Amino acid sequence: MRDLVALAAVLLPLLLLDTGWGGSFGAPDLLPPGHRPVEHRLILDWPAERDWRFCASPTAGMHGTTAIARGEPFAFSSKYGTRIYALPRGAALPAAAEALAATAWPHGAVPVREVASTAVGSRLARVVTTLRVTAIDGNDIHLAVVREQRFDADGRELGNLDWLPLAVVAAAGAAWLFVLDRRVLRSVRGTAEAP
Amino acid sequence: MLATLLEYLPTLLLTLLLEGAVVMALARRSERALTLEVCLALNLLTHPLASLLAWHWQPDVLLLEVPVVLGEWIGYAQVLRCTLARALLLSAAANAASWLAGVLLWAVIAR
Repeated sequence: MRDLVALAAVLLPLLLLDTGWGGSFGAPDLLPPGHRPVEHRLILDWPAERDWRFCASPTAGMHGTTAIARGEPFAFSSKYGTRIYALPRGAALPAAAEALAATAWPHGAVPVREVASTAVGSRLARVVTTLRVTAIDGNDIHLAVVREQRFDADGRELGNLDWLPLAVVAAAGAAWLFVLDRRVLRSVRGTAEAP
Repeated sequence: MLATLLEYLPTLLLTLLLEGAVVMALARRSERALTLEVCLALNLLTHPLASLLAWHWQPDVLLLEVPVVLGEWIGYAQVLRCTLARALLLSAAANAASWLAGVLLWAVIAR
């Protein structure tokens, strides 16, 4: 009973704290506690024989349009719903996103979710996703993810085995727990068998 | 891989220190050493797994604490052979303290 009262004393203030702070933590422009920002960029590629021009523009917010150069990274936002547009030959790039959205030019949504933050302790600082235009079909641009590269703050690409050191630590913890459990079991048995 | 470990270890050490201190304060005198050992071993198991989840899927930290508290609850109850209420107290109090410390630390760093 005393443990339950103590437990309630621990959990109730925490729940109240979380309820009170929930609005600010959940706000889209704030980083959640224990997280830091990550820069996520896209690279667009398209068949060399096609003389297409592309630009990126959000569907919400106050941002303008960005002309996309083949193989050059550009910013995007999942929150503001960045779309990629194909410009007709000879068309001028509108400065305002609203003007672009009003056109009937082919467009497509970015097929990846933006990585905006990561937990403290992670080396991740930058994500680069390469997309390829596979087809333009009527009003739709079909985009495929070619690859995703993750980099640390020094620009070194993070490898596929970055989970291994943490898995080794977890395995050491599991082994230690097993040993402790055996030790307690032996001690309990020893006490029970004692005359 | 070494760079990953070096980046990760400070957060693990901070968690071990905090949760170890809380569990030591709550443990019965006769089983303080064992409770501390169980706390350290449980955190060596749960912290890297939770960190991997946090790195790859960026879930809400509080949401991530739920399976951690549940896992450590079972761990304390199993190894210490104590009541479920006592095990939950140890697990919830230690993780609440480390979560709160994380929030405060983040607030200081983010300023």
